Amino acid sequence: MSRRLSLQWHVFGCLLSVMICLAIWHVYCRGAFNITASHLPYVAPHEAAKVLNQAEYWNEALAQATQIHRQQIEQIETLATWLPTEVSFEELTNRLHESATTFNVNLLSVDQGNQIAGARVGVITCTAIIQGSFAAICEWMESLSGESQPLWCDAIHLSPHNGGTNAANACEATITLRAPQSSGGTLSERLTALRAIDGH
Amino acid sequence: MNTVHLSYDLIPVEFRNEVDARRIRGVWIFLIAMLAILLGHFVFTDWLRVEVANRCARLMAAKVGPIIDIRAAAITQSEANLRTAKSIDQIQSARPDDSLLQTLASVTVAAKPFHDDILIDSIDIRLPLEEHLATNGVEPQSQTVAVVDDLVPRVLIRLRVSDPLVIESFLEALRDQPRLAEVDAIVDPHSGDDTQQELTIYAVPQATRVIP
Repeated sequence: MSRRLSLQWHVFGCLLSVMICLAIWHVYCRGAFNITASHLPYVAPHEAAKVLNQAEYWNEALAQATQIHRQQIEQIETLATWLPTEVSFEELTNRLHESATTFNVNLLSVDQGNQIAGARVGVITCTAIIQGSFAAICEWMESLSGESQPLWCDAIHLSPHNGGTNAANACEATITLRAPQSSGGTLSERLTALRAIDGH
Repeated sequence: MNTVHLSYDLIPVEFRNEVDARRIRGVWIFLIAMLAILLGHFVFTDWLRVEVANRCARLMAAKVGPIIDIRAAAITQSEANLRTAKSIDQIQSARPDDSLLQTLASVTVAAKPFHDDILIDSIDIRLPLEEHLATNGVEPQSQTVAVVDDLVPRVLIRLRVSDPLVIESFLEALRDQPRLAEVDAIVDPHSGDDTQQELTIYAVPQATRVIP
């Protein structure tokens, strides 16, 4: 009876020790627990110390960059004041007629040119034929470049009207004008988009 | 040893087996307890390792994570700012100015001292355009030269002079103008009568900005 008992203890003991040994082996090799915070960005300790020291610097850098960004948005707003999204030819003609009467030049005709997509801004071109004194024409052209929405004058053909002399009052000028607009310009379109993104 | 052996013989077999069994049980229990302690040790060590790693990661994430985010945001923003600033500058350079008027003015300023001797018939000014610079610079195609030639930037002044001696000094005056370069004159051969000489002056306008 007791011999069977000791045999039972042997069997039980062997089984249990083997199981515990297996468990030890498993824990030793594989580990019993998992790192739950593994999804968090791992930073090596020495780098973490460096980054912690730079906290002030990066805060300042971000504040500065944001400040610059805000200033740039303001700059883009000011760009938008002279660079409308789109200029219609009728509007352009009306503006030219208005300023022509103000500066006492005779605007004979305005011919619509084409729309050109530039790398920076788009332009709509037109050719204007005007008559007036040389001084008046110069003043008119100056007003064109000084307006709130200024125009480019890229070419002029100036000759005396009525076959006049050098001091003649009446000159005739054919002027090619270019009104900048942001649509059609690769850069300005991108900036307008930036402004729109920031606005919303 | 002998006495022990002798004494065993005196003990009933049943009792001896029971003592053996108890001893065997004790040995196994001791072994199992040792193994269990070993297992416990390993489990505890592992738990400690994981716990430390987790705490470390959480701490790092809480303290360093925001700074890393700020750093990334600052770098991205300043890079974007650089690009935007460049674009703004380029668009700013497309703002219309009075280049044409300045060029015209430089011609009239140069002509002023010779007011009595020269008669300007026509002034033709064409400023360089962005598109021409692009086509001229990138691919100079021979078949488009004729088309482009009509659009080449130039200043062309047709005038009549009463005194041929004035021509040189007028050209000098034009060359002194910063807005004009490569000033050259061609005298019209079949126009020279006694009193007047017809003249065409060519120059290249110097624009401060490229017209879009």
